[in-house]
Amino acid sequence: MNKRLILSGSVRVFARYKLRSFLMGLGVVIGVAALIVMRSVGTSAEDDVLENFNRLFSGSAMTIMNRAQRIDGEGQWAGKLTVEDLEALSAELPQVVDFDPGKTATREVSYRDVNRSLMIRGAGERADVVMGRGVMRGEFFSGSEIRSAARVALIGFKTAESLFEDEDPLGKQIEIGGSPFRIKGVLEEHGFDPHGMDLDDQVHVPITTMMRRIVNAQYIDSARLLLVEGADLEAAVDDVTDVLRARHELGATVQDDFSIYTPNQVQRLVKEANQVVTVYLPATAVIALLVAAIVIANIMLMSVRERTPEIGLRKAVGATEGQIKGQFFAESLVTSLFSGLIGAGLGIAIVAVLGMHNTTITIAPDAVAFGLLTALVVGTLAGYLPARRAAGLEAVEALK
Amino acid sequence: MIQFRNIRKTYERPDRARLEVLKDVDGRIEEGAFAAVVGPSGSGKSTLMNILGLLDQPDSGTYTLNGREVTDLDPTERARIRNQDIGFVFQQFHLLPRTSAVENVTLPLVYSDVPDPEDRAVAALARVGLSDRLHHHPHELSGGQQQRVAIARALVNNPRLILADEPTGNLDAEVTEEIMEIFLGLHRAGRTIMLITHDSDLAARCTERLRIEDGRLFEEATV
Repeated sequence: MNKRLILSGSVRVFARYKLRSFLMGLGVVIGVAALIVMRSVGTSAEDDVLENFNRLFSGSAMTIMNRAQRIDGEGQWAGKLTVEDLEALSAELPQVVDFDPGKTATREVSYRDVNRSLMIRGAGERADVVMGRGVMRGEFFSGSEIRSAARVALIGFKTAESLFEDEDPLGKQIEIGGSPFRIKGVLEEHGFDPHGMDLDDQVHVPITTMMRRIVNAQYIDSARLLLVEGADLEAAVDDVTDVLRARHELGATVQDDFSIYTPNQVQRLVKEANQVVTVYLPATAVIALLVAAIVIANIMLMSVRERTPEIGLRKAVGATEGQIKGQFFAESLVTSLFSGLIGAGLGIAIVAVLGMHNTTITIAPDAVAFGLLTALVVGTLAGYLPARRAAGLEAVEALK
Repeated sequence: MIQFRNIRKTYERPDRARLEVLKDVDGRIEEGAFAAVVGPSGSGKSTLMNILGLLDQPDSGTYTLNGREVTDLDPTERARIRNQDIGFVFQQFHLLPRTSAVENVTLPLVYSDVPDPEDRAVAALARVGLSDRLHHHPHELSGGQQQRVAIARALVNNPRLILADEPTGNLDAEVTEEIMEIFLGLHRAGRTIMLITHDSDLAARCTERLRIEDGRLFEEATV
């Protein structure tokens, strides 16, 4: 048997039945392209989020979140995290080397006749180190400014653009919640946080100023602790928990009134949350490909019926059952693989176009490989029944 | 060349009635013969040809082709014999649509191992006088030309036996003569040919005549 002729024959079927081949392959083209696009966009978004998280939670660090909800029925607000708690942790636990308290609120910010509602964040003296975000212009808060709850502010570069346009914001006076603040600097660019909050359109003030002058609160929202390099994170979480529970005087039966996140936990949470995008959405594309397999099988079964005289003739000129089976298998495989390649090209092109608008989107190679593999499986599944039916035809009957 | 004994073939009709198409048929065709098979429609001519061409199997009887008992061969071996030793020509031509003459003629070579299939197909088309129609598709050819492509396909693997089932049944008198000339040429070149026909003039020009009537085979005297 002549393998070259067999192969060229199954390729030529495309030319013989152009519209039919097109319709047969269309499902695979769309399925593979959709799979690649969804998976690429999904994993790119995940990588992007993880990168942001890594910046916030990387290395030997942990984040403590104050609980915002009530946890008992007695009308008591649970969160009791204070700056003093952090100082105590720093003093009592040798592995805690640095900390930064955080407190946020939304306030009206105005400069001359521009009014905007912005996120105000209270930051500690060490925020530039602990949060990894200093100023790109001007100066960071000094220790005395923190201690004296000074009316000074740092602003994101987008805030600077929206309030000052071309003016130099340094040294200018803005109003936050109606009180005057002097701008000391412009914060380094930081992008978006995982919730989509624009970190470059915020105002930072000293944590003391935030607590006393802006929100008048006792408890902070969150804190970040830097630990010594190579610290045992699990042990550190236990130690911090013990100290905080003791300071908050929580009885043995009472839940923690705070949550602690470490980099590993956060990564896991992000990946879990993203499974919808990275796993389940591409899975729908795989279902689409299975439907494509049914379409191919269906059209091929019709094709077997229509080409019955051809099958009879091939048998008459010496094709064995196995060779007839092989021919229809090859047609199914060539159709779906060729369509898979077109779909992969289409998917890669779409991702490339999306990537021009959003540089974080890159092609997911595993999706391309998986898409082509699925196309192969589709071809095999779809070809099985038609190939068997064709091979089983009696030459005498087929030639009538 | 061909020898068969006690060939029986019965079909079950859709209404469950059994139809005896061949009743205990014996016969032989010598190497190099040009044998006509004649008889009324439904007398079993095509069934006999299908059995002799290994497209169909008899219910009982023995069949020896080229000195070899082929009745009980497995399907793969039967396919190989159809490919190597037998060339078929049908009334409806059975060319693949939307496929060029050369590719149609190449078809038997898809299932055998020869070095230059296309060259052989071109040579076979030359033998039936279609060198100028190599890349035409069937719908671009006349009926006679289509049948000549089909004959080239039957010849391309150099089989010793050609089985032709009413090859001129769909063709007018002039074209019928052209096709008959081709068969006569093949006969002169030494090939064994079995021609099923309704046309007694054509049958008269063959070297022997087999008549099938009511499922039985009679040898007619050579003129």
